[in-house]
Amino acid sequence: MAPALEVRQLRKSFGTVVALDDVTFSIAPGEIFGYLGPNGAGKSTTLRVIADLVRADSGDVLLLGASHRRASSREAVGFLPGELKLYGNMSGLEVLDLFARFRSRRPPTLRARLLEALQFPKGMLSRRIKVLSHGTKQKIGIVVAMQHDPDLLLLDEPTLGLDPLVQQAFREVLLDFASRGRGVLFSSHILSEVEEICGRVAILRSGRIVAQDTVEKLRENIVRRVRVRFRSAPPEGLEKIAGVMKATIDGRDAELLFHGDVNAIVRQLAATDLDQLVFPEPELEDIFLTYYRSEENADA
Amino acid sequence: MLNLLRYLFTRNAFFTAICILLLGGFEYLLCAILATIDISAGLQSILASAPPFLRSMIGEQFMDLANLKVFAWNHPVAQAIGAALAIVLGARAVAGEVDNGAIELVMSQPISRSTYYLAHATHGSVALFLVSFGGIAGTLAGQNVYDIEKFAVPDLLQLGLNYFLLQLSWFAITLAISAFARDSGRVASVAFFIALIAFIVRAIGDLWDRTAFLLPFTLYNYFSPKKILLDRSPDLRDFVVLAMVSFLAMIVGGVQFHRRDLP
Repeated sequence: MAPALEVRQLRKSFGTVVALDDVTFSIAPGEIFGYLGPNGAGKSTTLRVIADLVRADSGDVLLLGASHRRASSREAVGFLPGELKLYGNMSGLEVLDLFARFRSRRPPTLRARLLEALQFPKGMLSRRIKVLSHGTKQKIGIVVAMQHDPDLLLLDEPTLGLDPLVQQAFREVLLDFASRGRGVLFSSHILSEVEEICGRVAILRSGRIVAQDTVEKLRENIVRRVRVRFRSAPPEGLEKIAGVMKATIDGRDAELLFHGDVNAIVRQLAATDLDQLVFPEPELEDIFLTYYRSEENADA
Repeated sequence: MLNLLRYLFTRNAFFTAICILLLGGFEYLLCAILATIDISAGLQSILASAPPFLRSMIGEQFMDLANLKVFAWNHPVAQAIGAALAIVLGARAVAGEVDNGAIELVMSQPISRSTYYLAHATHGSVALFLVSFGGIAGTLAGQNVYDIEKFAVPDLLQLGLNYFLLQLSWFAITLAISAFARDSGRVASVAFFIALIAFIVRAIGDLWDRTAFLLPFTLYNYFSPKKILLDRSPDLRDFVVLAMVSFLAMIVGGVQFHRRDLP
């Protein structure tokens, strides 16, 4: 089956600033692909290139097998921009209808379900956009992107401005969406939500993808933490233990960041007077740290 | 395309309607004034004490009713109404949509850039056409209601077309500037400044022979109600020049819009 989205060797510069450099990834139908990076890493630029808003210097993008430069290729694609702006003088309903009419062959079959799932306040649809809160506008943006049940969904920081309950409901909507064979590109700098719903993740830094794999695989090759509580004062030289990159000491507690074989560090710590030894579940923050560190080393 | 056009007409309906009413009302009102006040006599008495060069410069066009009716179309108010609509629609078309941010969501829909640009160009052209012929309707209504010296309908239609092409040129030039820009306010300011300079150049060129060489460089030189209504010998070149300027400016804007990054 053809990928829902295929991005090949994208490169884009703004003057002398390289915004994207050799960005390559693909998304299979039914996959939620996380696109992670801090602000300014190039996430929004990537999505704008995919949506054909920004013209890449080189590289290809295929939306559902067709070039993104063809307007018709966007018929089955939904897009939510990172900085959502809607026509302030129109009502929510007018905006939804306006955007629904752009796709005569794909009626807004999901609209009612989405409005209900996102707990859209009743009566707000008839009010002008300019008087709505940021969160309510964001919900309208999500419905605009998804109401026609697209085969590929491009989301740039979609949960921005949504309260936690609605964020959770939205994630459930996305999981259901993907279970019906739809591909999703989910761009975010909030690691926990990406970790919760995405199968694969690309990590972007300064316009380059520094890691791309499943969340599980990325976890295997990362900087990890160990939290140690000693019965007495921590011994000196913790940071000199093989594999330890950083040791933070707070009274009898210490947190060690390490990389490599866990047995070596356990053997070293076993020789001390331990009270507790905890290896917390790695999080994507740790993954970030790993790849950012390796990039910095490479730069150096 | 139809969806976009519907949106554009709805969005700008009020402003367009106001411009139609203003221009039609202005032309009608001038007919009413000319029918009820003897402006020529008043002006003659004022000019009698004016320096000879002033009499020779502005005297002729105010001395009879027909000249005064022609002046109603060269009047700054008549020009300002059409230019205001042309400049505002042109500035709103691309830069305005970038400015308000909505272009990102709109252009991510299955609409090609050509379709989007063409929709704006079509909407602007239709709106200006309506305003131009709204003005002609005002003149027609005025000269019939007040039963003053009447211009023939075909001549008035030619004048309407000439006025339309002039305003279409301003719209196309603004649209071209808009395609390069992100700030509609700045686009409108630049276009207004260009139109103002062109108007002043025309006025000075008409009044002062030594600056007449500048006349071919101002678009207002190709708007000639006097040739159409009084001399009854419209110059086809005026129409062609305005149409060509409109066409070229739209092409330049279209090419730039097609290659630029959004927003």
